[in-house]
Amino acid sequence: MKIRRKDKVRKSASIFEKVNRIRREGLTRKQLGYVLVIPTLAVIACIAIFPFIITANYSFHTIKLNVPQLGRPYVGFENYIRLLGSSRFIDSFKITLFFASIVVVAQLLFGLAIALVLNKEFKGRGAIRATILAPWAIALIIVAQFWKWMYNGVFGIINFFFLSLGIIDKPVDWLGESASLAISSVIVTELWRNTPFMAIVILAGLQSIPGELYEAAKIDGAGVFQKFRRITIPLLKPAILVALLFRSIDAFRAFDLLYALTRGGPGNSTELASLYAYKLLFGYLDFGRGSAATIMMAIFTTALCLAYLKLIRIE
Amino acid sequence: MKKMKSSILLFATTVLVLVLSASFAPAQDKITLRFSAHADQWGNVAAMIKLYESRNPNIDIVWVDEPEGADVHHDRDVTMFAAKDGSLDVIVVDVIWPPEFAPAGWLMPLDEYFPPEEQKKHVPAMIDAQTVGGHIYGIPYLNDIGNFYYRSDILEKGGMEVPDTWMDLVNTCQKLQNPPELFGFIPCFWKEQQLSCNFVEYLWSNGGEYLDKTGKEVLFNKEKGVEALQFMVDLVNKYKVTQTGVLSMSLEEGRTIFTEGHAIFHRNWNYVWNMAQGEESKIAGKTGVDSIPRFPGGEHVTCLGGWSHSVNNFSEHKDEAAKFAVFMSSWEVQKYRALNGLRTPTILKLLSDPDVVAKHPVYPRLMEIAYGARARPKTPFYTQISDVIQKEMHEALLQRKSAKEALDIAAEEIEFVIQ
Repeated sequence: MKIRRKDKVRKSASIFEKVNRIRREGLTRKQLGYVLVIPTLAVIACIAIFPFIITANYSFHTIKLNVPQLGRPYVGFENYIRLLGSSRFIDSFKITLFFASIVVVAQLLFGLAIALVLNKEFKGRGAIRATILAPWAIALIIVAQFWKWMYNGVFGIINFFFLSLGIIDKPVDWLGESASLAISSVIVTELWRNTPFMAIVILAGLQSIPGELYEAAKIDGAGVFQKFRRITIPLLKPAILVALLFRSIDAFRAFDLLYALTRGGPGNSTELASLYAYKLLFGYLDFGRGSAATIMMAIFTTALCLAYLKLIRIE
Repeated sequence: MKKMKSSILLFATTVLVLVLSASFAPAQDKITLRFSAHADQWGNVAAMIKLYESRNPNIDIVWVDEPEGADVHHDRDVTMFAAKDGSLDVIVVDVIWPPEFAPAGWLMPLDEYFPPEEQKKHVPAMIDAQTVGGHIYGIPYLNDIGNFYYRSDILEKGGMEVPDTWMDLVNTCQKLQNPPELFGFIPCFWKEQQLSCNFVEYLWSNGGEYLDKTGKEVLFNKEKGVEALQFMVDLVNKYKVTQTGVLSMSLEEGRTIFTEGHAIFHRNWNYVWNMAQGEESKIAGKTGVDSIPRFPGGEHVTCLGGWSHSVNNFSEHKDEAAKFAVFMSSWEVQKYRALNGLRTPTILKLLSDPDVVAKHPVYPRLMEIAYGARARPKTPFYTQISDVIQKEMHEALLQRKSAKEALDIAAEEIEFVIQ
């Protein structure tokens, strides 16, 4: 295949002419780019776009797998209207927003703190960097099961610890005593698990800041706080935004953690939207409404992504 | 670079040869059945498969492992059926699934292979659970019911009897318990399927009903049901005889507390009897099993569990699959599995068979309890109903709503679904 060096722009060429030109002169750079990207696009279409279209299509039908005699009638937006009118779905959305915002903000603060510490020179830094990633490297469902046992009201180690330190005077049922306690316990586990990711991304950002900037600032008489505000934060912003983007999407569709720890209980206090959607789909076998719930979540997450991307671009 | 090229070439050739040899393998006369069954630590399933293959040389059985946990298992099967996938020919089915799977056309009716005179030999409630719209969809092979386990040594020392009514249970617990060293009663009130199983036992033992006969009207929020739930709330909050964390503890976490010797009473399924006698148990020889307590004037009832063999309606070898399912649930296999392992049979006569009883002296007692077993409501919406009721019961157990309020809300939500 021959690649032409110069791309001549000829706008009004018919397809026939174009094909002939390609025969004669080979592909332009732009055309070659498209050709090379086709396989990737095909794979993405198969594994992402196609299922999305199917799900979207499902969401406009009544599909109850356990009542096949209903058929699959088209119902327009009924599934969406029904969901938006159900307090359970709205509640699950609120809980998700609450959970995601707390988790992401807390992870940003802790992650930043950890990254700043790890960015300093000290003995054994390599080892500590590796260990701090450990929680993030274990499969989440296993992490959650460990924590469930640690939270256990009778033989859980957390009660044992707090009792022997005198912080509490009788065993506490961390995941079941009250709604606020349960969601807090879940958030603590989520922080333990995913803060390392934030820390590592921010650390990478920190290391890309040239040392000369700090030296120059020092010569100009800038203090520690000034250096942090005027150099570190502005240059770190892109890394932080990328990390926030990833974490927000993940937190918004968190599932396994809740599935293992509480199953949405006690009551409905920790039922995130993803958990409810899962119940609709595979518990109730209501694929119409379940698909509608997932589509709404997808729309929300996409909007969130676009907002972040816009922020990043502005920077 | 050259080295890499040649190794890639080698790899490609190997793959090609493998693919070709697979596709040119001689056409087989043998029929392969894919059988999905629970993991079996005693190797009995494998032995029985071998036996069947030796008797039927034209059949090849491939054993596929089940995922652990009934909910996950249910979801896998549903996904398979929804795709009209016939790759698993014979599957094991939980007692509450047929009313959901059968009307959807996912299970093969087995009336021909498992006629009424055969059905009569099994625990009646299990047959009832497998019968949907007058057809039978599964052949029971594993009996499982909710039992009431107690520590005989502690009762003896305290000079107390095994409780007959729920209030007896409360009194005995309050007298003998010493938490956190020794809890009174360990039920499973975690927000999942187990909570629904526990609830029906309180409901039924108070003479209450879940749904009416047509399955269209909710009855559990009537007086009897409210009393039953109120008692559950009181167990936790007023009498304080349950373990800390009863609302968030899974079945196995609760079981651990009991077999570690930190509880007097425990409601759980058949498997706990064997675990309590096992090597790792700290209460071996100190336990007894009895019917679940009742309310005054009510009857001893227990929630039916257990598993059956069913045939996938999308299977390509339905006849062979059905015959194999019959075999795997037969007297011969059930006896073998009882004698060489710990699987409780569903055939009534086996539960009192001299060989089996010699090995498991507790079975005749279990059989008596099993006669009081009742199947949960037979409706395709059971999972949904159960989910709603779990959620509202938790509200009551947390004392955020009264028992009446919680059940009324649940009833309203459920009627919306089933009508």
